[in-house]
Amino acid sequence: MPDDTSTLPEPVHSSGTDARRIWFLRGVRTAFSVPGLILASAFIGFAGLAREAGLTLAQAVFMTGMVWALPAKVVLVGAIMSGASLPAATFAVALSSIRLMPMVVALVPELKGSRTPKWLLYLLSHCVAVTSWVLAMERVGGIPREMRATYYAGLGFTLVLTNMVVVGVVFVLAGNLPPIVSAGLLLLTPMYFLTSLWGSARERAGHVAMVLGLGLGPLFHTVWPGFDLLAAGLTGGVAAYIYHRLARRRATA
Amino acid sequence: MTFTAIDAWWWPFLFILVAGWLATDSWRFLGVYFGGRISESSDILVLVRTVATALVAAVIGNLIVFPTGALAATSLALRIGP
Repeated sequence: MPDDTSTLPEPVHSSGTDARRIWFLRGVRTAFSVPGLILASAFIGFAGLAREAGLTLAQAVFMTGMVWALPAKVVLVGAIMSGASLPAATFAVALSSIRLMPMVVALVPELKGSRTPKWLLYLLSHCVAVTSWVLAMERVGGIPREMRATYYAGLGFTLVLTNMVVVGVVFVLAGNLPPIVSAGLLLLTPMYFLTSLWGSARERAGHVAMVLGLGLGPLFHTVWPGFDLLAAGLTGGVAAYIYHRLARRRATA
Repeated sequence: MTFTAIDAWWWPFLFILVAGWLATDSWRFLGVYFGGRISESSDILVLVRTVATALVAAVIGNLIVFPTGALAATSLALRIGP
């Protein structure tokens, strides 16, 4: 994957509005990278699903901006299609989105500078979903600490806004898209996330967690559907953490 | 109280706001609250990272083994792929 933060001129000062604008624009540009295109292709599929479910154009675009995380939206559209009540739909979506909490907990200490305001972190957290999380975890290391929130603002909000446009455009045009095209586009997603998630790991335990999650996800999906992600994340995560503690003890012993 | 229960233009949007925005951003906001209280070098953050990574990997694993939509028409061998 090309490092698309390297070709813009180096900021002269480490702070100030010029540097801030440059890092914001670098974030914006990261949104128009291969992972950004792959995400947009997944939203093409979502627009088709929303149309099938009987949502209006405005509702589909509104949902994209407000919910953002794709799995949560798929659950919400599924609940709407099955005629679920508001409390039942809320519960299903909330259950599918618990994973967002540990993702944000892991990201916030990396984004936070000494002067980053709290409200900005709350605002930025809205952009957290798999793509922007993986991209940010992978790249913040090479960004000056005080510029990380700025960079993520450019990346996150560009992803949200462009995909609202993508959903709107595809919603209007849906039906003209050959199924084989969307199938081909969707096929890219797992392959891409596998490689970049591997690269974003901070320690060896991250690789252990990833391998465990990959196997446990489908396993729990068959034995405990509905709680599969939660169960796989907790079991795999705790096991990887135990591995981390044992490996460190062995290293210091 | 379903999506189509109330015949007013604002009801579907309120439905999306409560079942969609509130149900997802609550977790994100809780994450900012807890994340702001953990030091970057803290050992507990390793646990949070491994749980988050395992969760994301589980999403991908399910995507490969139990695909939805157009991907469901392709074979498992193709999805695990070269």
